Amino acid sequence: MLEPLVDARGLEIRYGERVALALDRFEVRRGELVALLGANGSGKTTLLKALGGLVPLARGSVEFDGHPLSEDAPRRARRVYVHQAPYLLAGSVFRNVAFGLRASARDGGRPAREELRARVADALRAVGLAGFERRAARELSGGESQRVALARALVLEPELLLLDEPTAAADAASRPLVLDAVRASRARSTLAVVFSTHDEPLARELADRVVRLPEAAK
Amino acid sequence: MSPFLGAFDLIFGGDAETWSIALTTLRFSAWSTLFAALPGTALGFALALGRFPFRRALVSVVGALTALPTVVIGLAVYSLISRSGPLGDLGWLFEPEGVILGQAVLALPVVVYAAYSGLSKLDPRFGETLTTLGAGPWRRLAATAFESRLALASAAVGAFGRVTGEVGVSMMLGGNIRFHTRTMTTAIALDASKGDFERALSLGMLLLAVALAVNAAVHALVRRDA
Repeated sequence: MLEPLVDARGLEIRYGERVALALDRFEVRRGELVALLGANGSGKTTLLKALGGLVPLARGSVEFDGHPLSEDAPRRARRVYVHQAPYLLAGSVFRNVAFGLRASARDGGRPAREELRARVADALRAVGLAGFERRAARELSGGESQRVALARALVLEPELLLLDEPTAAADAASRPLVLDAVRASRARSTLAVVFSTHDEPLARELADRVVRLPEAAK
Repeated sequence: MSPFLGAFDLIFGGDAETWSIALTTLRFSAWSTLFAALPGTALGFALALGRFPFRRALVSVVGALTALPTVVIGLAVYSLISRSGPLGDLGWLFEPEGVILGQAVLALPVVVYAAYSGLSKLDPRFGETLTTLGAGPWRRLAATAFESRLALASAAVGAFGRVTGEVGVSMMLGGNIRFHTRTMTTAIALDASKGDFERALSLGMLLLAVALAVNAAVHALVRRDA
């Protein structure tokens, strides 16, 4: 049997004294799409951030591709977390989408300008924002911002995509585009996706597996 | 001629001494702001983004230093660069270098505190976004500086305004020497005490113009940031 891409065991995450998440085991396999359901405060966002290495663990461990997250800094961009309300960097849409490619250039060499342009254009096309490169990122609508954040993640061709309520901030026009982009990326690669949602029908329709988080102990 | 008309005449008639004083002031202020901005921004970054013991206490100390009387700073630097002081051999007392050093010391906490305040207001999602996109330490630093560029520019502009309007440091360390270390504030103090209200008023108007320009620059930056 294949090793899981993500293997989290005995997780406990605290914000101060409050236990934000307590979870015995959570696994994700390559290419799998997992939906996280749970009430507000059940720790969906915290779990996604833990899998992305963005919050410290009070207890337990998270392994990504067989390595503890703490030893995985050079490969950080292989797992990308997208906020429910994404933070777009100051400047253009191009700067946002190219940022991760430039940042991860240390390992594989800086991508040539033409290649960078082409990859950014492809990523924007995939989320229905072709030609948006020069637009000011901070002047986009909520749905467009969500799609830029998704393009910024997908352009890195990650192995694990962590989406925090990906359709919550999306308007009616953006919602199917967000979902289509996720589906298309999965079709092209062994991308694993974990996303949180309150929308149970969406979770059942889209996901290979649905995980319902219990309410966190107070 | 009324002192006001005389003051306008000095400004718009191109009086050499008035404009020399104004330009000397701007030159001292520009250099001292530059010398304070470089380490001050770095210290602001360290206070805002670093996690080390006594950080909060240090922030309070820097905040308190922003309100330190200029004559106290003048006195401290005087003791350093006076002939018997540890830096006396440099011969900076009553020289432009002495004034610039003193003003840089005055501006330093202003820059540090303003940079710290601006950087502290960065959205927590910003740091997470950099992390998840794989930014290493240098790219992180550059991105943070770019993200808060307007706050950092406001810090420098604020420091420039502070040193342009100070009198204690310039008087104690520069000695108010004509065509050498005389600044707008020291000249105003001297001319007013001599009863030369025309020059004092002309310099006061120029100082006011600088203060208004500095404030306009800060407001423009803040508006752009919003």
